[in-house]
Amino acid sequence: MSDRARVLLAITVYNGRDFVPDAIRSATRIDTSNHDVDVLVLDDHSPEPGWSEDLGSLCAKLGVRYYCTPRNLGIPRNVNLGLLAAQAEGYSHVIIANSDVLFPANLVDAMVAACAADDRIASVTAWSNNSSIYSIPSDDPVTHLGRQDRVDWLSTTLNDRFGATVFDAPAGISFCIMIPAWAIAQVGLMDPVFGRGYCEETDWSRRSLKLGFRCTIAQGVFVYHAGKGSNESAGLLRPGATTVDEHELIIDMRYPEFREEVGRYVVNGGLERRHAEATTAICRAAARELGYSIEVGYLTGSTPKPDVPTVVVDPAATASAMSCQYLGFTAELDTADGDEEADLAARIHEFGGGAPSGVNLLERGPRTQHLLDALGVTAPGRATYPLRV
Amino acid sequence: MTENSTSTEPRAAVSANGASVEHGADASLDRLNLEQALLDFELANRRVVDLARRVSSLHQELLATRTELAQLKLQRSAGGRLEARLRASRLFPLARRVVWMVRGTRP
Repeated sequence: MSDRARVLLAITVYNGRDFVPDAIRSATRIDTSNHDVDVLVLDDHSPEPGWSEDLGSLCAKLGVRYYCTPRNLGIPRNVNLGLLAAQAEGYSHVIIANSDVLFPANLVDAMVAACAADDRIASVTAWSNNSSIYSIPSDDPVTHLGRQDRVDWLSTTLNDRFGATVFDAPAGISFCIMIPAWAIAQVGLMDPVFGRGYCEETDWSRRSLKLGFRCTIAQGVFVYHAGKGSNESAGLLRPGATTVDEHELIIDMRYPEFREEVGRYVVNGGLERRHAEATTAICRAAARELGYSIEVGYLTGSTPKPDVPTVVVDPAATASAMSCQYLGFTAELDTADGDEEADLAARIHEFGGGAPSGVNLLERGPRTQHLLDALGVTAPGRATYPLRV
Repeated sequence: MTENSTSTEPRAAVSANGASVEHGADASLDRLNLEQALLDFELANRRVVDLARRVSSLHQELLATRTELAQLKLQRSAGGRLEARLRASRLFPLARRVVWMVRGTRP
């Protein structure tokens, strides 16, 4: 029997002229060496005049299947079309995705592998900058991460570090979620009671868990997700809201244990550790591939260039005072009380895979000179005075 | 990208509502869409009937509870008036002393 999966990538669309084309182009770049991938764009009868026609033309030009439903269905029912198509047409897996995303080239390889990690896995959600409580923390992702080359690199880096590893979650997120075909039959479709959208994937996830299946997050794949801009303008959300209260009440009624479980998960589920592992993997890989510079200053507001891996050091070089920043991600470097300057220098060398390419000395502290000596760099010659009062 | 099944037939003129037929695309998705829409309607209808039944039952329960509450309030009110009349009676202090003597308690 072939290990080659047949995957349907169903991208749901409702307006979004500013970002949908990038998402579709991104989908056409997905690596198909190991698995068959077909892309289906499901236009939910977008109301913007001329947009559906333009989108249909773009899809035809890119060789992507396009379907515009004759009446607006709402997100749950539009997603169901993708699930039904996957089932009817013999796909082994379906990915349901938003259209305000950028997919990495390794998307399908990574998510199929994650699904295969355990035959009880009914869903795998991609890791991202914007995936609810699972989000890898980063500053200004729209500016730093909304680029195809960076998404590809981030996903490859996380895959190198984590492979097909998944962690369990109380609910998946349908911005980019893979569901094996057997799970559609066993768990069912999204419930149309959730109207135009929000909370339907939480409901589906909880149903799958009640049946004894697993709901997981894939650590070895990164999908960029811009966020909810189109939903507010489309009227799915009240201005300033992040969810639909009436749908949350349905979730509370059906799954009274859910909120408490999420609360316990956030505190005890290891999310903070996993986020730290991810940012460390990203910053370490970047420092080793691109080289890194060191900034020595009390004020963290001195902004290093985001696309240059930068180790930021407190001039007093106290414990927990060193971090590495790259593309808005921040990784804390391990330090310990009692570390001497040579120890700190050794940690920086180990993290960055060698000597720094440059040192920006913004302020001097009690340990600065010794630290610079240990790092094997000479202080910049320009005299200055303390930035901090 | 693996080969997909998008129709290569020329598109018909596009209508203002962007219906799939006018895009000349996907008869199989149209069929799935229609079948599921009919199923969704059946389910939605059954849910409406079920919800109507539950609303009606809850409404009956609400009426019964309100009635019981009103009756209890009336009883409490009647009992309160009787107590006030007894306390105002000239015999009340005598009755109170007798009760204390029987119980062995002191005022």
